[in-house]
Amino acid sequence: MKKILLSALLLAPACAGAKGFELQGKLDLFGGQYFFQNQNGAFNGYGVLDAQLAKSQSSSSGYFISLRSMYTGFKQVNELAGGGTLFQQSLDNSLGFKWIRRYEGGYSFKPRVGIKSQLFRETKDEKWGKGLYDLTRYEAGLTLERKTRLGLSTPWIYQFSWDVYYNRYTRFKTLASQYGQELAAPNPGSRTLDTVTNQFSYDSEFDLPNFVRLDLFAAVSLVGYQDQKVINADGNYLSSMRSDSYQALNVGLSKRYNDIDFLGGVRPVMSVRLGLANNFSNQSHLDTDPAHLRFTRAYYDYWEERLSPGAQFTFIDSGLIARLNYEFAIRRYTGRLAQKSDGAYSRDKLGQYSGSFTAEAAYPLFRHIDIKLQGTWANSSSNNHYEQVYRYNYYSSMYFAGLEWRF
Amino acid sequence: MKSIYFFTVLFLAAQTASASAPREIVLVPEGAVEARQGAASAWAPVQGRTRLAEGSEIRTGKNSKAAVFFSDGSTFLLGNSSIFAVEDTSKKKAGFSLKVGRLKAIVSGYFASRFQVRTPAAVCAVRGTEFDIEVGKDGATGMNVTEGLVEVNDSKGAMAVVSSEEKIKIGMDGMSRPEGISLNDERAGEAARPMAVRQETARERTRTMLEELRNRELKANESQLGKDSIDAFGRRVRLEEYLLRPSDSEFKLLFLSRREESHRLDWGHLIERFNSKIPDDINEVGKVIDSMYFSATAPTNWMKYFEVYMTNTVDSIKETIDFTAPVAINFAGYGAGTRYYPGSIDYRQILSGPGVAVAAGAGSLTNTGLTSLAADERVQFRQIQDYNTTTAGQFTFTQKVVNASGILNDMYQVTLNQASLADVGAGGTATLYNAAIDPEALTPAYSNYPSGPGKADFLAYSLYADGSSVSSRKLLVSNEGDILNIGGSANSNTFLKEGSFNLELVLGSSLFQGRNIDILFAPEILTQKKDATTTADSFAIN
Repeated sequence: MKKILLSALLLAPACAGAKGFELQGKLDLFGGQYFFQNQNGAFNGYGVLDAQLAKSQSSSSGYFISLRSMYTGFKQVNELAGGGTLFQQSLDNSLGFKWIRRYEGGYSFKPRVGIKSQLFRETKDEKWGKGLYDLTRYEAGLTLERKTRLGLSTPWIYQFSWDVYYNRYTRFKTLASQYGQELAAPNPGSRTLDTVTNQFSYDSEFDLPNFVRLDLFAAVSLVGYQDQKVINADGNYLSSMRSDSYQALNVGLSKRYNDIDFLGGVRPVMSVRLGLANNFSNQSHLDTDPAHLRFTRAYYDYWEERLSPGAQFTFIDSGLIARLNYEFAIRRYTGRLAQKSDGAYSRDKLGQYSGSFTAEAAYPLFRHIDIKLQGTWANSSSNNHYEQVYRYNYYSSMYFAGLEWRF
Repeated sequence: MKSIYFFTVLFLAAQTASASAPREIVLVPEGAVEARQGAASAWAPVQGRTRLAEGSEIRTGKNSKAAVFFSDGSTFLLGNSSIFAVEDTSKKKAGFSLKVGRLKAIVSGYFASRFQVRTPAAVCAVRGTEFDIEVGKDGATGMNVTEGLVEVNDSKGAMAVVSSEEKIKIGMDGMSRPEGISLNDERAGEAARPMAVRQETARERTRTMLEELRNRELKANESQLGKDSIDAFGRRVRLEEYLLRPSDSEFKLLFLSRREESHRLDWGHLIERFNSKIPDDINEVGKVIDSMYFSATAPTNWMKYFEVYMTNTVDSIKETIDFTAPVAINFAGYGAGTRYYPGSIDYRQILSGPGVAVAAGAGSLTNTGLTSLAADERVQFRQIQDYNTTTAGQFTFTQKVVNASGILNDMYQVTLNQASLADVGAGGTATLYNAAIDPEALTPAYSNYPSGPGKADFLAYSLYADGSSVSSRKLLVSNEGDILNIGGSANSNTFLKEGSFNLELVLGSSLFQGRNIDILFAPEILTQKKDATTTADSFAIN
């Protein structure tokens, strides 16, 4: 996989030079650091190459190959924090191909295929390619698009998509499946994290007058666990497999306001995004902690609300762009009970509240090169105070600084 | 002549220019192009690059054209027979007019955002990057947007945003509905042009993000369920626990610790066997256990047998506790009345493995109270607490350890009259003590604190009369594998407290031939064991 991606990367400029090919993308090179409570992660690098190589055969058809390669030498606040590790290095490589076929009347048909490899080093004893959660994802999708108008005033693009993802955790097998027979352990399945997801989504974008943009995204995902057996109250694993249904609805609104006559002109863009999601699962959970034995149905079911206001200010004279974003999220589990600090179950359903604030500045050093600085502060709180194995109440932060080159 | 007014705004400053770029406007003519400084000036031919100032007007001849370049990279291309004017270049806006002719605008920088051209017929605001516009002699205007968005207001007050590959006609009587450009039209863009690819990539990333979040969630759940941790030595430990119900009066917990890179599996089990059927609802089992200690009424069910077994797949330590039925006991010495408490509690520590098999006393049943023992097993330690069996109406507490021959022998015995305040206050009466085999007397000085004081790292080590030893190292470690800082020095009670740390137990013995057993598990197992083995002279009644 790595060799294929490397070859694709090396060949990309050559292909771009070939007739009809266009190469575009960006390269980010940053250094940064992650903080969890009062612990400091080591300073390390972060690099992203994001490129698309496109060829149009006509106004009706064309295709593009997308490549994304990312190395993260430090953890970021949007990654697993409560139970994760301070030390983390990850290497993501993905390769995709999409064909675009357009028809009169604003209709388009866009099939795609792709593959993604994610490698992790999360502990001092893990080597590249040996991470417990190393993941390979195979994906394919079909998109039907219509470009039309909503009345006289508003261009409207909507898409119906069907995406299929097969996630294979290459090194993850349950211990019971490896040693269960000799220990007389029950059989929960072997590759319990491997999933096939069928995702059906609808996406609408409206460019309203007065510099207002509205987008709407709705998705239903049916997640089939390939080898995770459903557990019952006796601790027995049934022959039926875990199956989840995940629903998401996101609405985003942004508006550009008139320039403010300050420091040579400041152009503000305000935005707000609202997200609703829930998950239903047929899987239950049996807490085998001897002092708190408990069987919980609907353990994985939850509702989540997410609100994210943001602002972007472009300083016209200097070209400096400043972005501020806050995100607040509430997740309420419908079956899972909160635990007291000693592990005893309370009567309240578990709730998780998280907030994060991001400040980012980008300053153009040259026409295609920006210097960027970003800081994020996040906190999480919960009515679950049992933190023997996972932190529900914490704060974390990160920063990075570096250069972005767009080509 | 009618004019069209434009406000060109770069909605997203995607391509910024140098911070100190001057606001220059430069005209490059091709063919017969004339310019004048203002309406009052005379037209004069333009030769070569010419800087345009506010008030400048340009007109192109029949077979001529011109380009207008802006310092931010934006460009206007004027077609033949066009009249174009620079009306305003103030800080707040940059105004232009196209009175007649054709203009193609490629807007790419911050400067373009304040362009403005006025007409009584319509107002247009450009939010995108590329469009062309044609104004006829009658003032009728046609516009095609190649890429981006243009906001158009007509003289009737109607407003429309025109997007990529759309065209619109604006007359004095208002605008028509924008229409898509046919794919056969030469003005249609390419299917995989850069902007379209960028937008498509962004939409795809939004859809894929859901899958990314779900995968992140899977990983978080593994942690929340305690299946993935880091030990005190920086090694990832995968943990799995399973509940088994061998019979309706028994359950078994199986716990596994796997360290992939060390190629080692340590595992163990906890067995709790009850006198009669336990509830199907596993949530109720805790109440059964609670009811067997100090309940005011006779419990209907109680635990008969408790076993914790831990192994590195070669060596093992098994701790077993046998209980007899709770009986009514007068606890007046503790300020309580009659309470029910197990009639006897019999604890054994049993070692096994190839090193044990060749040790003295292996397989010996002497003083073990057992009827069978494997050839590679040895009971190292036994503690019995009984009521009314050894001493009438009192508790008797007896400890047995291996002697120099590896055989269990009595080491210590105490009786306690639980009904007597004085006897309870004195901690009972010692009736036997054999210092020659007492590990406390035999064990040389050593440090209990491998990580130093102030750390939750406690080593207990016992040397027995036959030269064998057993050690138990307990550590509280964070998810990162950091050892918990504590006030003062650790002791065995440190590991029974509530907290947000994992318990790592490293068991060793001279009989394990250099190997050890290293398991992370729920500290409640220790708590239950302690509850069951608390000696008669120190228990508290809740």
